[in-house]
Amino acid sequence: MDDLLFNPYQKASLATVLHMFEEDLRQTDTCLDGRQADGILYRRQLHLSPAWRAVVRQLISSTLDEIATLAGKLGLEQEVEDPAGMIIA
Amino acid sequence: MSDLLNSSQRTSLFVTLRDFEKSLRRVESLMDSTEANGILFRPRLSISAEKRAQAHQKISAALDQIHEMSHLFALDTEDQDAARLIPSEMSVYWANLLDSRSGKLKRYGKVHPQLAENLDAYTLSLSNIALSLATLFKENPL
Repeated sequence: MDDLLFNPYQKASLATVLHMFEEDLRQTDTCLDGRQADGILYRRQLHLSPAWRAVVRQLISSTLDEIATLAGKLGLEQEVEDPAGMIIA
Repeated sequence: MSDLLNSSQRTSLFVTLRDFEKSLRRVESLMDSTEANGILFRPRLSISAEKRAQAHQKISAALDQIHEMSHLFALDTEDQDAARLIPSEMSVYWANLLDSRSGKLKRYGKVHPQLAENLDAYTLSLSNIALSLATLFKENPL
C-alpha cells in the first residue's frame, strides 16, 4: 500500500490516532510494572493481580505488533516529536 | 490556616494544585526520558542542558511550595487506582479508531476505492482490542 491510497490529510489523521494509541498503550504497559507514583497530593497505584497483568501485557504486546504491521503497510513513518512543544502547551 | 477555607474552596484549591503537580511531574519525566523510541514517534527534547537544569530547579521550587501549601491548608493525599482510569481512555481510542475507517476518512477528501479493503480490517481489529482492554480493566478481579 502506498500514498496513492491516501491524500496527505487522511494519512495525517490516521497517523495521529495510531500514534496516540501507541503512546497510551506504552504508558499502560509502564503502569503494569507495579511502581507506585507517589506525589504530594496524589498517590497512584495499579490494583491488578499478577495473572491479570500478564494477560494485559500480552495483549498490549500483540497490539503494538499490529500497529507496526499497519504502519509498515501504510508507509507511516516514525515522527520525531519535541517534548518542549508539549511542555509549552 | 485550614479553617480559612470552606469545603468547596478547599476542593477547588486541591484540584488545581493536584493537577499542577501532575503536570510538573510529567514535564520532569519528559525532560528525563527522551530516549524511548516508539513505532510512530521518537522524542527528542530541543532545549539546552542549561535550560533543562533551570527548569528542574523551578519545578523543584514549585513542588516545595505545593508541599508547604498542602500542610497549611490541610490538603490530604488522594489515592488513585490507575485501573479505573484506563477504561475511559481506551473507550476514547475505540471510538477514534472506528472513526479512522475508510468511510470516515471522506471528511478529509475523496476516498480511494481500494482503501477499505486495505485499511478497515486493521482499524476494526485495533478498536476491538481497545475495547477489550477497557473491559479487562473494568472486570479486574484484583
